[in-house]
Formats: sequence, structure tokens, C-alpha cells
Amino acid sequence: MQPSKLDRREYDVIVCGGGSAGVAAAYGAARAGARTALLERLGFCGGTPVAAMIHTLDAIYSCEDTSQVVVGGYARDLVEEITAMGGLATEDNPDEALSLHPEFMKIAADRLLERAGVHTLYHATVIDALVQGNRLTGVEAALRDGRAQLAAHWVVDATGDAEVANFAGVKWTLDEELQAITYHFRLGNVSPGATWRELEEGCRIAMQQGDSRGNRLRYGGPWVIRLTNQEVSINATRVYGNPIDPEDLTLAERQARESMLAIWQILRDGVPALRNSYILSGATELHVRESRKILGEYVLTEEDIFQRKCFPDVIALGAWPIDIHPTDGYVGVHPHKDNPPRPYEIPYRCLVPVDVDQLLVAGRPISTTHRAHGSTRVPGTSMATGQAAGIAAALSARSCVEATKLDVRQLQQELLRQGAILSLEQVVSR
Amino acid sequence: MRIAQRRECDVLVCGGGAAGLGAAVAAARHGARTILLERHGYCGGICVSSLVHTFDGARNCRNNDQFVVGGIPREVIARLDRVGGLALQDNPPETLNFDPEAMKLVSDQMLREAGVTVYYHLFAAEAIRDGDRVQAVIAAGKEGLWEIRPSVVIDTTGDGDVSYFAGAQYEKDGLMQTMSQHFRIGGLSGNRNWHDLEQACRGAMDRAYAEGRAPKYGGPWLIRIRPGEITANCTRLYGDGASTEDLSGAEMQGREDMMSILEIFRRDIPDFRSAYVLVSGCQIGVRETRRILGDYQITASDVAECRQQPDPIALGSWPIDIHPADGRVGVHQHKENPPAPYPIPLRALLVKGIANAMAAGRCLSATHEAHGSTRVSGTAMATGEACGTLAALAVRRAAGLRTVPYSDLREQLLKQGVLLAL
Repeated sequence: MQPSKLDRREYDVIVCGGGSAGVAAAYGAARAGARTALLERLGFCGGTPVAAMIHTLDAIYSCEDTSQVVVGGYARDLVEEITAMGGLATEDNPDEALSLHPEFMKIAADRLLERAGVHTLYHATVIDALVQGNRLTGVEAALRDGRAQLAAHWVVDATGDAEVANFAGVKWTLDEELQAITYHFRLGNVSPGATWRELEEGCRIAMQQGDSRGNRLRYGGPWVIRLTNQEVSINATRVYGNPIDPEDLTLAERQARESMLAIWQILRDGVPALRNSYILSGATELHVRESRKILGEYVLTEEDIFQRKCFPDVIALGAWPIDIHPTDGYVGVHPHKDNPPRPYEIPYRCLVPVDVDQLLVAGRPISTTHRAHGSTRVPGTSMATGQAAGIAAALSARSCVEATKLDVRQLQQELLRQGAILSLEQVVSR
Repeated sequence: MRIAQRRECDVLVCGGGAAGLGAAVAAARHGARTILLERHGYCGGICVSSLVHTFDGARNCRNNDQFVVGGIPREVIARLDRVGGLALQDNPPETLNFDPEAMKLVSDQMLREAGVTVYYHLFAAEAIRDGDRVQAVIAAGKEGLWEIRPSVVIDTTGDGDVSYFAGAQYEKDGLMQTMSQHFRIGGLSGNRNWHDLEQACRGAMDRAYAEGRAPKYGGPWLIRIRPGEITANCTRLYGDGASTEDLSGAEMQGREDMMSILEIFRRDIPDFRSAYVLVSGCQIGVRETRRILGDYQITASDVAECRQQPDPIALGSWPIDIHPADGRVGVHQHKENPPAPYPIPLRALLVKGIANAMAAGRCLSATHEAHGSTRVSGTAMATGEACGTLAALAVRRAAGLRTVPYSDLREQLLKQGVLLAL
């Protein structure tokens, strides 16, 4: 075995995964004074909005009143950085979507991490958890120059798939009906003149006509986002499978690319503005919406969301509708935006796995039901839970307490100091 | 070490870049039970991930109309053409450009038809040696570690990871070639051809650098996929691409430099006034890291003098092209004096001291200078095809890689349309 030269390094906090939750966690932890490392398996941060090209930070705005901003802190700092670089997408986009150019998002994340003092390691994949009894003492990673055991007082699992939690033996569930997976793609050379809404409507009609001609292609939406007025990003492919099964995932990659090709051909033939379009780029990664969900100290439910339950340990606000991309073969637009919740509270306990200590989980796999997860899984909410997890890890590392004994008021104070939004009274207009 | 899943196979190909695609397709077509591991969700390697969307080394650099590769590389090119995936003609004549999305699709199709078992999101993280053999490769993926036991392993990782993990001898130059973050620029106006645009970009960069407005840069060299866009090879990053810390730093610096360079183009060249970054490579382009030592090491004089070999398995043709790491900027000499297409010997692919391992592509056995010619994607795919073919022949006969007679391999490669001489 060839050990990496980083073998045996020690940190206060290690964050695994550089998506929405992970960057926010590392940023929050470092700004709370922890020596922090961030491990990301690709060469850039941003996760699903960048690598899977969804291009939007859903649930930064309230879906019930899209003029309201419900996530602050890291999300606000990131958007400010991107805006200053000219990296916001064109205004011709859906109201509830905060759309950004992925290249600018990569750079903005780099800069915020550097300013916060995070040791960012790209091309670094977590392959195991180091466990002593019921405590996590670090992770093992496959680095470019070999394997490394990295020690940490606390670890934040922001892998999206609860990979560290799984390695550490945390209880998790995998729903029998996992949400569908999508391969987003960008079309270039779009004829000028049409708005996103007209393009989206045109795409939906074209796909329905394809359907009525006996086309058995599975698709969702389509939903349309655009970075500039010369192009569109299409959210339409729909493949099924278990994203933590490597064979399913490989098959999904292949099927999704074939499906992209078939859908583009239908859109090119059916939507006049797309007649001369070409596939500018497919995404680097599939857009996985759902995989493992951990069992935490509290399980958030759909009732909590719609009854707007108050939690003394609130650490984030959610805002997205219960948005479950169906796997039963249903095609087109599934109802979800018709009934958006008012912004609701997410408690700290959803990030705290039962049984294993010195580990927090943020982002997509936090402890919720399948239905509630349909709302909490999105990037804006992941940034909020990520920042909370990072700060909680930093504070716990400093005071050497168990996760369940952390003084939540201290966590909330630091979150507020870093600009987070924890209550409706704080919600601001954009 | 907790192992999540175990597999056995005849031929294990680690890395789905140009070399790995050639190796896996060739091995499986000859009936070997073949597994291909790829860390991303698609194949194509640097051609796709780093936006070097060209088969350098596929054409004779002294006579661009002539191909020096046959076999699988030519089949890939024909299939790209069939799906409309070749780029427009307005490109440097020695290159052969294509659309990376088409490359992903064509790779999938060829692997599936050949019967290769492909595992995406899985990569080699360790190798277990038993005497002079690689007994198993430990691969890392989303569910932890896999143990894969092959009869033959083909290292197409680019960095020679598997050979290195297995304790093979290797060289790493003190001045490894620079890395580059290639990027695609959209929103171009006007109808200038690639050559005029390249000249304009070079002038703009030279001026900006002299005035202290530009980061370190190479070229720029331009290639293009579609009208209205261009791909720039211009950033220049230093360090060891096989070191996580160096690579992380280069990724971050590469993005910042990309934006600085685009700003210079936008400011100084009218065609670029409304230009924007369409997309950058999803990983930085690494030209040189470990070079694995084989039974033979290709040298600069082998390349320059077109030295004949007793065991040729492919032809190289790219000039000795070394992006300097000594701080020089702009265009380095290399295209002025391309070599006559020269034979690459089988022995340069056989990993010294290991009975069942071969290394193809960028990490094959060559000196720092010779590697400047052998490292390119067209050549890589051809060397991969040779490895896959030999591996399958060896497995079928239950023979060692070094005991299959070269004449049998040669006969098979020629049957596949591989070019061993012009």
C-alpha cells in the first residue's frame, strides 16, 4: 500500500463533499474558528447545481412568496460574490429559481473557502470512516498519491448519499420508490425572441405530441432554465434506479445519455426556436434527487412542514414544495408547485445521527420522511443545514461535548453572527 | 479493510480515457471477460473531461491527410462522424476535433457492443501484489472498496496509478509539463477562421503579459467544435498532477486564470466583445506525471530518428511537445519539425518486473522527452488497443504476456486494421 503524503494529518473538522451543504459547512466551521478540511471527489465545488447542471439554488427564495429570501449566511455571501463577478444568469428565468452560471459558482466557492481558511482538497474521495466505539475519529480517503487516514474531532457528512454515515454504521433508509434521476443538458444556438416560458411551453407540447405518437420515452417536465438568451438548459430526461448501487448508476448514466439524444431530436423537430439548436454540453454528473436518508434524533415530517411546527433547536428554514419526481412511469409535469409551504423550521436534531457520535449529516440525507425529503433536498436548504452542521461541529470540537449535549443557543448565536436566517421575522425581501 | 463487493475477471482496465477505451474494447472483442473502471460517469478521459476534444497523433504530422492510426481509433472517428459528432472543418490541420458529448455516447455504444462490464464512479485506489503479479486491485466508489481479481491488469489511469500502487518502477521529471484548464468560449461574433483568431489571441496575450495584465500562459492554441464558439488552450499551471495538494491548487488557479484571460480577449479583440465561458473542463488537463518503466523505454532519438523496433504495435507521430515549466510563456517550438511516423514497441507497454501488468497511454515507458510525443490521445488509444489484444490472447492461451509470440500479436493487430508501418 502506498500512503499519501497527507496520511495522518489532523483537523478539528473534516467536511466530506463539496456540494451546497459541504461548502457551507466548511465555510461555517472555519469561520467559527475550527481547523477545517474539505474533501471533494471532483475538481471543483458546487455539487448538484454545478456538476449536475441544475443551475439553480432552489429554496433560497420562498416558493409561496418569491420576493422573500429565506436562506442567508453562506448562501448570501456566495450569491454576492457571484453577482460581483457578473455570474448571475439572465433574468429570463422562473421566478422561484435563483439561476447562476456554474463556472462562476466554482470560482466563488473557491474564493469563499480560501478567505475562510479552509484546506480544500480536490480529487479526494472518502472510502471509509475511522470509528472507535460509537465515536467517529476521522475518515480514510483515496487521494491522487495514495490512501490517507485523516483524523478529525468532528466530521460533517455532506456527500449527498450519506456515505460517511454508512461507513460509520449509522442507521439509514432507502425508500422503495426513490425519486427519478435526471441528466440535464444545455442546448446552444437557440433562435432569439422566445422567453423561457414560451420555450418551456413549446417543449412540453412537443414532448406530449411525441407521446401521442406512441413514443414510449420516459420524461419529466420539461422544465427550462437559461444561462444566456442564446441557450437553454433542459430538465427532462428521467431514468430510474438506485444511485448507490454502482451497476444501477452505470446503467443510468448510459440510458440518460441516450435519452438526452432522443429528447433533443423531439425538441429540435417540434419547437421552432430549437430547430437549429445543438447539444452544447451534458452534465458532468447525473442529478440524483434521493438516496439514503439517515435516522437522526428527530425525523421531520410533511405535517411538521405544513403545520409549521416550531422547534427550540431551529437551525434552518425550508421553503420548497414537496417535490417528488415520480418513478411509476408518470411522464410530464407532476403537481408540486401548486401547493408550496410557507417557510418552515428545521431542527438541529435532524442532522444528528442516533448511535454514532462526532458525526453530523447535512444536505440531502438529513433525517426526514420520504415526503418531507421532497422539500428539504434542494440546494438552498442544503446550504442552510450545511452551515449549521459546520458550526455545530466546530463548537462541539472546541468544547468536547457530545452532539446531543451541544448548547443549541450557542449554535444559533453563531449562525446568526454568520448571517443565517432562523425565523420568519428575519425573512427579508430580495 | 472492509470490502463491499468482489469481482473476478480476465482483463481489468483501469481508467476510461482514450487508452482505456481502446484496451477494453479490444480485450472484450477477443472474448476476454473484461471490466473497465472509470472514476467519472462517462468515458473519454482528457478528451472529454479536460476539453482536449481532439485526437492528436491520429494524423501524420508531416502529411495531415494521412492517418497513422487504424483499428479502434479509426472506428471511433467513423462512429463520431455517423452521429454528427465531428467538429467543423475550420481547425488546425494536424488535429481531429469532435464533440465531447458525442464521444461519451460513442464510447458507451462500443463498450456495450463489445460486452465490456463498465463500472462508472469507481477507480483504482490500491493494488495488491503477490510476488511478480498484481493479484488484486482495490477500487474505491460510492459504497466503499471493491476487490477485483484479474488475470491481466491494464493501467490506463494516465498517472500510472495502478503500477505505482503495485510498486512498479517509475520516473517523474523535476520539470513536469505544465497543466492547462481548457475552456469553451461562446458568443463570438464575426466569421474569422481559427487561424486568424489564434493570431489575434496570441497578439493580445503577448501585449497583456508585457504590460503585466496577464497570468502565465501558453499559446494560445485554439480549436473549435461549432461556429460561434472556440476552445482555448491557454492557461498554464505548475506542479505535480499526481499530488492532491498541487492538483487542488492548480484547479483553483486555473479557473481564476481562465477568467483573467477571457477578460483580455474581450477587451482587446472585437470578435470576443460579447464572449462568455460556455464551460470549462470538469478536470484540469494534466500532461505529464509518472512514467512507468517498462521492458523498454522509448527515447527522444527513437522518435526523432524513427528507430525501427522488432515489436511495433502502433505508430506515433506527434512532435516532441513539451509545455515548459520553467516560466516561459507563449508558443514553444514543437510543430516546426514533426517526426516521421515511428514505431512504438510492445516492450514499452510491459511493466518491468510485473508479469501481468501493462501500461498504455500517457504513462507508458518513455523518457521525459519522448513522452512529449507519445502522450497524446490518438497514440494513447492505439497503444491501448495493443494492450487489450495481447491481454486477451494471453488469457485465451493461459500464457504469460511475455510468452505470447510477437508474430501472433502482430497478425491479430493487422487483422484489426492497426497500422504498424506506413
